Amino acid sequence: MSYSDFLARRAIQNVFVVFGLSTLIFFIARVLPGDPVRAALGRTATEEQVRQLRREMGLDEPLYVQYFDWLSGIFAGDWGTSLRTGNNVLSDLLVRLPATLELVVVALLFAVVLAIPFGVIAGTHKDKWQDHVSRVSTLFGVSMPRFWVAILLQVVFVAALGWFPLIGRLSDQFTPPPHVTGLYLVDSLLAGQIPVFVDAAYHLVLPGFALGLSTLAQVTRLVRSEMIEEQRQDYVLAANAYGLPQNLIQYKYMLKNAFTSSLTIIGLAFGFLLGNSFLVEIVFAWPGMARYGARAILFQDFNAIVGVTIIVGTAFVTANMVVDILYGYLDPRVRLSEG
Amino acid sequence: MSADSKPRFGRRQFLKVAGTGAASVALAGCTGGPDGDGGASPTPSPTDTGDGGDQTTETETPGDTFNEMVYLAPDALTSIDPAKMGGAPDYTSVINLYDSLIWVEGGTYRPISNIATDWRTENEGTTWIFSLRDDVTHHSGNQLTADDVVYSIDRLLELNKSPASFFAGIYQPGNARARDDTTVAIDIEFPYGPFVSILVQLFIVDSEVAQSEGSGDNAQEYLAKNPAGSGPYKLKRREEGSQIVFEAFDDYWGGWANNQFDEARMKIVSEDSTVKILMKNGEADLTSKFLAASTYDELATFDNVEVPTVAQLFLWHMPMHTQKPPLDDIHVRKAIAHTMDYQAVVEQVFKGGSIAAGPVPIGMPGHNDDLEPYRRDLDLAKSELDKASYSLEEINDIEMEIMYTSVLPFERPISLLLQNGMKELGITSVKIQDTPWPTMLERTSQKDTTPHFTQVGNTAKVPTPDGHTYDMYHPSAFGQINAASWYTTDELKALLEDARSTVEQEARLEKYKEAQRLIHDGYPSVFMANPAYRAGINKNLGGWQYRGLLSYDHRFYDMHRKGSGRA
Repeated sequence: MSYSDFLARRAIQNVFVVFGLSTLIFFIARVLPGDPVRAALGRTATEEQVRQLRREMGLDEPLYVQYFDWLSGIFAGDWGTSLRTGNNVLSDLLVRLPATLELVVVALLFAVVLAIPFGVIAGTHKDKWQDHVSRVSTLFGVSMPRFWVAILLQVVFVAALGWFPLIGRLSDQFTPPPHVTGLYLVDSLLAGQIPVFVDAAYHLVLPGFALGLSTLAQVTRLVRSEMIEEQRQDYVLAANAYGLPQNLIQYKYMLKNAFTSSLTIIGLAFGFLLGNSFLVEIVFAWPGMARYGARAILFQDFNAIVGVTIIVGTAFVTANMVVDILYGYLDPRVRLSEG
Repeated sequence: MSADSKPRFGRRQFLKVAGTGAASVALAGCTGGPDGDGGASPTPSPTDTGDGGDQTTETETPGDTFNEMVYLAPDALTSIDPAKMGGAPDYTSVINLYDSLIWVEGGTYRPISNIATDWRTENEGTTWIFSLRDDVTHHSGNQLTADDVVYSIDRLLELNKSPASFFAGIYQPGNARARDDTTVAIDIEFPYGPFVSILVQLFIVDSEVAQSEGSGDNAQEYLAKNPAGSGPYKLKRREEGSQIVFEAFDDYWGGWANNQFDEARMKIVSEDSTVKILMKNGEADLTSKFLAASTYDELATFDNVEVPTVAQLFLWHMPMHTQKPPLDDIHVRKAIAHTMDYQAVVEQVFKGGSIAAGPVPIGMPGHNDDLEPYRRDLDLAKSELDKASYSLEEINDIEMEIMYTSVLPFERPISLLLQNGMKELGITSVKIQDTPWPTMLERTSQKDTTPHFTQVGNTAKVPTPDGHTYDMYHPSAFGQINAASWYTTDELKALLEDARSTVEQEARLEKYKEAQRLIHDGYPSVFMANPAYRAGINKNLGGWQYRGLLSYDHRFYDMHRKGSGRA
């Protein structure tokens, strides 16, 4: 099979994966014990109000009717009504997704941009002090819970030093830039609002670092161990013998081979962070999708649960597709092998 | 790989695909505005929703003199539609964007005039006539008239969401009419004494705007995003999940003083540690009442923050299923009630407040001050158990369950206190069960599935004892979680119905007091505490006053800036 055929087949498989996942969650969310309709209406809700809301949301229909109703609405943009907000779930998610996406992308950028040099340095200085520092600090990085890191950063860099803002995406004196993507960094640049861009970037530093720290630690360790393996290869010996610069050998030749397993982690991390950044979002009062999803689970807002699942599932499979594509770029043997 | 073969997926192709992928990801955010309006052309609105209308940044230069207050809400808003309010942040928003027909007085918690200046009854209490202010202007510029009141009450009942439950069975849509621009007559189904009290929940909508913008769905879609009220503040900007910004309505009928707030922000901050830093740094004025007790203790140590402790119209109790053995025996219930360490609940768990004396919170108009709180008395508990029709062995043969939710951190220690107390009496077959809130509501909706003990709170939303008596012990309330005791008697039922239909206030309150005595003596619940209301308040915030009802102390108009800025 050619590489492009392989990618096409994966893309089709991914559609079925997301569909299957959302179907599973649809049924699970609806058969869980509990009465989210009463929770949505409040504790003083009368029986008549409960019956009325169930009727309005189609919950008095058999489960299979609800499913086909939901399925027919999905592609038309009707993802059901959120019990909590009363809005179409899709519109709720589209408002909140850019905030989480921006945070996750920045977190991953932190992770990748820092992990590569840290990992290379640690791997090429095995058992020296650089390696020891790297190993201890990555141990902390993977061990510390994200929410604890987030609170620690607030206490040190905001409360004590006053270097960064505490919460939100922008300071009070700014209004959000004209909406194009919902990503403040992008929208502010498109609108030419540089102060807003700077302020938005500033607000992303602490939550982005808190969210990306454990991925940074994981990728650093992976890059380190792969670099150690690559160090032993003949081509490295040959390159050194030719007198090529170390930076060229390490960052162009060795890293390209060492990075493939890290790609997998980064791809998985993207989807994972998208759905699990809610603790960081709560600490930094970040108006993202993950926090919305966490509240949906607590209150059994089933349409919202399914909606978040679709988004996160799509992100996971998309990220894995991108990883597959990048594999092909990094390793020509992958894209040139034929089945 | 042969030296002659060209890679089929080279750098150029990769960059093309990467660029396309990045564009796709960016376009994924392209259909929702910051206020979630779906990306269509913004609906014409009297307020600026910030959805791309401004092409320049509204940067307020540090040093501009305007008064701003910041309130830290615990959770995101769900609705600013006065017919669909749910939680505390919804009430906070609606109270500032709209005017209610009746307001509530701080300190006494009695209903007082607001849009309605006075009222009287006709037809033996089944018709209520309200005179309205003639100087109230909506944000749109329209005059507020009796037609708006008629529209608002009918809309409330037609949509039949949470706020309508206060009027269920009392008012039917179509039974209000405007006698003239400033007089409205409301016919109710039966004489209902607390009718004026429940009108604190009726917020007046600009009917002209609502009907012209949203006739098809009772203006639900329009009012979800665009307030049409007459309240002291207009909606300036809503950043979904982040904050809602209010700006003063210059033509508000109450007028403005120099030190009141030009702008108010309600920021959504759920994490206690973040709230503490914001308050300490002087970046916020007011917290909610939903923080942990230890957080208020810490806030009180900050130089720039005060933490007033106010008696709250809030009952924390544990309904006992009076129709499930062995709790169907009053002596068993009495015994269990007298094992509870009430002092520990108030002092160690809630860190303030008072032990509850019956079902109605202390301080509510109509509270029976003659009732004694239940007390921990193991000797009394043992003597009551001796009188029970169940032996200790029979009681222990039944596994009893204390149901609570860990969403509120204090519920588990309270459950453990009760379990421990019963153990001291020899009742050991008791388990505590952490249960999600929707499941708690589902289980208590049916008699068979309601557990023996359910831990729950009942905060006042209207200034009448009706919410803590009729709504807990009349058969019509069975199926709601605060009625999880499934307790009533013929005498109590008749008395509650009589109290409700008594129009004269003092006579009505006396009947409610008698009903409280009947309830208290029936031991349907472990009435544990009226926890104190606590909030973190910046020292330069003036005018805050507890008003007894959920979020009614968050009307920003009542507050002002003391000194030159936030402390």
